[in-house]
This record gives sequence, structure tokens and C-alpha cells, in this order.
Amino acid sequence: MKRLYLLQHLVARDLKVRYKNSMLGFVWTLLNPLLMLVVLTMVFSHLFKFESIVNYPVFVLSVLLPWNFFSQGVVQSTNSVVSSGGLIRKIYVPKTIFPAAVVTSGLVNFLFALVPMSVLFLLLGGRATPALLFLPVSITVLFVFTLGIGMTVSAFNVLFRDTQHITEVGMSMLFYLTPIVYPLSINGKAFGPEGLRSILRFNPMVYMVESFRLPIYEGTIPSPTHFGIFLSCAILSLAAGLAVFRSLDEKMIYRL
Amino acid sequence: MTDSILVSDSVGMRFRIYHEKIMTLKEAVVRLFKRKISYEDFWALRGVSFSLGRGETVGVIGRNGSGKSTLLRICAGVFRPTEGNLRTTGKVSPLIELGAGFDPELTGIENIFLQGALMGLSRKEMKAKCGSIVEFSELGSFIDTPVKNYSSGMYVRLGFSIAVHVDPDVLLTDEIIAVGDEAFQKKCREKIDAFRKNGVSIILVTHSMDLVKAMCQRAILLECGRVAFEGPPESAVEKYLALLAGQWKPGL
Repeated sequence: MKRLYLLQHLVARDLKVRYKNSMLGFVWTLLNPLLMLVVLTMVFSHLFKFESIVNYPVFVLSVLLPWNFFSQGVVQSTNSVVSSGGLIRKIYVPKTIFPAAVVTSGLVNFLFALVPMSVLFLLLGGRATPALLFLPVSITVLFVFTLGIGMTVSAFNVLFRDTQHITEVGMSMLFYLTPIVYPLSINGKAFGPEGLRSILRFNPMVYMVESFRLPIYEGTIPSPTHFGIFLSCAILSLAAGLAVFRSLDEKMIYRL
Repeated sequence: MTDSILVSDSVGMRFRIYHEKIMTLKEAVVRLFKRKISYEDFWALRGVSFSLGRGETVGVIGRNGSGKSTLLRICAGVFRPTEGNLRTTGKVSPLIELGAGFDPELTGIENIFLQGALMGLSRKEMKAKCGSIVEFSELGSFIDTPVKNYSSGMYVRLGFSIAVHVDPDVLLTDEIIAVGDEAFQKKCREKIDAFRKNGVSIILVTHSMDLVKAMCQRAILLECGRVAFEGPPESAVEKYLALLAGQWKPGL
């Protein structure tokens, strides 16, 4: 209970500090994905000529916010324990609270950005279907998934500061290895070179994309098998995060 | 004798001093192949046993590097002892580094709540105490200014005010009585005296022998991580001064 109260405070601090010295403040939460959408649409719809993809902006938009939440959550978590090192060395605080606070404040940002993004979605000609009601489930699973990965990398970063650089590069790599700006298949034909497809087979983010793109863009819900894989990945990642903290928790203090 | 609120049972704290600090993955891999991770064991504390009674004030003295701060950190729960164990019943409030959890961008009042949460207090408790914390800190209207604009004196005053308002059962202090100007220092002393009267136990780490003699019922002299002497403050101070002068060697 007290941990929850502390978490709430850390999240509030995060949100307050994040936009404190910028003129547009909270607007950036909304402006950032919007500008990114414009760039991605301009670059990729011209570069790849995805003519057969109806309404390409909505196609990208459907996955952009979840992706941003995930990648920013992981990248910012990485440094969360290390940057609180001064505090951890002075008073006892459960260390898992730091990645948890980062990912939770990311979630709050994500949920806020959803509102103007749904307006944009409708303006771009997206259709509201009952399948959208599936999104809270997808968001919850994505939150658990991100939290697990965030905890794992934040613990590793205490031992090896390389982790921070690896996650940053890894995220931009993962962006292209995940079908965000391109589809898995066009008109029933698999998209992309063989090499990419064999990687996609092992990328859990493919199922993350499906859990958002199908309800938003296609108006359907993901198949139980595919969603089950996504859910299992999320549970596994949280278990990994907890296990890593359990085994490294006492060593961390000497590395901060 | 009153019941003990903190019991240290032959506590030992070992640090590994790595000759080359391995901070990157590459170094770790290289070392793994070379099989040459060289380190030394350093016992910052060894076999430290003592107990702290309810309402008792115990001074901890010793030379630099004798293990005083490590002992406080173990009491605060930051370090887990390598051997032995340390039990506390009740709330321990470390006055070790004031304002450790402050965020420079947040205002004084926001930091009060944040720090309170970090020290394990609930919202209700914090709401009740907030007013008296602000009052005690004497920050006035600065309380709504981001703490990055505070002077260092204002910073520690706020930190001290929060730390003494969490209703601790055990107060851990490390040279912190010297906070702020004369007037504020006097106020701190009074606050600590009030604590002692109200049955709060205090572990006082200090280099001020006068303070030890004036405030403590008992004192522990640490030397090289071991308890060299435990007993009345006057005798402990005497031993300590003899130790410094090289006239006395503890039989460790």
C-alpha cells in the first residue's frame, strides 16, 4: 500500500518534471507522435509505394502510440535505477519501484495521447468499430510486457552500463524489424525479403502489433493463438524482470 | 533495563575491492577469458555486537574509515550485513544525508511529500505533518519555489525538518547537528532533546567529543571495523584520545 503511494509520487514527479521547462509542456505528448506520423507517412508511403494499403496514415497510427510507449518505456527504464543511485545509497527504497514508475508514467502519457489521437483517427477516415473495445486488454498486456523488459534492462544496467547503449540501438533496430511502417503481407503475399520474414517469425512484437492494428485498422480482434503468444511473452518478461531483481538486488548496491 | 529496539549480533560487512573496476560488458568478457578477476576482501566491520535500548542515546566514535558510516548504513537498511544480523523493531529514520531524495525541479512542498513517501509514510500522515514541517524549516514563502533555487542552508534545513517529523523510533545521525545558522542549530538540539525525552533512541555518529559526553548514555569506539571499547562516554572519549595519540592499542 505504501509502495503504491510512493509509486504514485514518483510518477507525478516524472510527469511534472518532464515538461516543466518547455514552452508547450504537455502538448508535446501529443505533438511528438503527430509529427512522427507525418514524417513516417511522407517517407514510407513514397519510398515503398504501398498503394494497396488503404489509408496508410491510419495504418501507421494504429501502432505508433503503443510502439512509442514500449520503446520509450524500455529506454527510460534502463537508466532509472542507476540515476537514482545516490538516493538508493542513502535510504532504503525497494529498487523495482524506479522502472515501475518510469513505465507507469509512460502509460499515463500514452493514455492522455489517446484522446487527441482518436480525434485524428476519425479525421483521417478511420472507422469506430466494436473491436476497439478490445484495446484496454491489449494495453494492459503491453504494459506488463514493457514493465518486465524495463525491469530487466534497468537491473542489468547497474552491472553493465553498456546496457543503456544497447537498448538505445536495439530499439531503433527493433523499429524496423517490427511491422510498424510496413505490413506482414500485401494481398495475401508475404512482404519483404526472406531474411526479414524469418526474423519476424521470432519477433514477439509482431503479436503486439496485431493486438493493436487489427482492432484499430481492420476492425477485428486478434486470434486467440496470436494473442495468447503476446500474453505469454508479457508474463514471461515480467517473471524475468522479477527474477533478475531477486538475484541481483543485493549486488546492485555495490555497483551504484 | 529497557527493551532493545535495535540489536546488532556480530555484524560483519565485507566489501570486495576490485583492482580493476569492471563496469562494461566488454571488460567482463575479456576478464572471463583471462580468468584474472583480481580483488581483495576488505572487512569494513567485523563482529560488531551491541544493542540499543528504547530511549537510549548511543554515541559512535572512531577515526576516519573505522566503519562508523557503514554501521549507520546497515542500521538504515541500505546495506545488508555480509555476516551476522541486525534486527530493528520500529521505524528507523536516517539523518545521514539530508534531502537525499529531493528533486531539484520540484518545489519545497512537493519534495516534502516525495521525501515522506520515500521514507515510508502514508498520505494521511504526510498531510497531518506538512504544516509543522514547513513551519519548522522556517522557509516561509520559499516553500513554493523549486529547491534548485535554494541556498545550501535552506536545502538542509528542509531535509532536517522532514527527517525529524517522521516520528522515528530510532534516529540515525551522522554529523548533522551542525545544520544551518546558530539559531537553527539550537532548534535542532532542542528537537533532539525532545526526542530523547519522548523515548526515541538515537545513534549519534560524531567527531565532537563534547557532544558525545553531553548527549550519550553510552559510547562505542570503533577501530578498524571492530568494537574497541564500549561503555560510559567519558571513558570512551578518553580511550579514543589515547588511541589518536598512540598511547593505547586496543587488543583486537
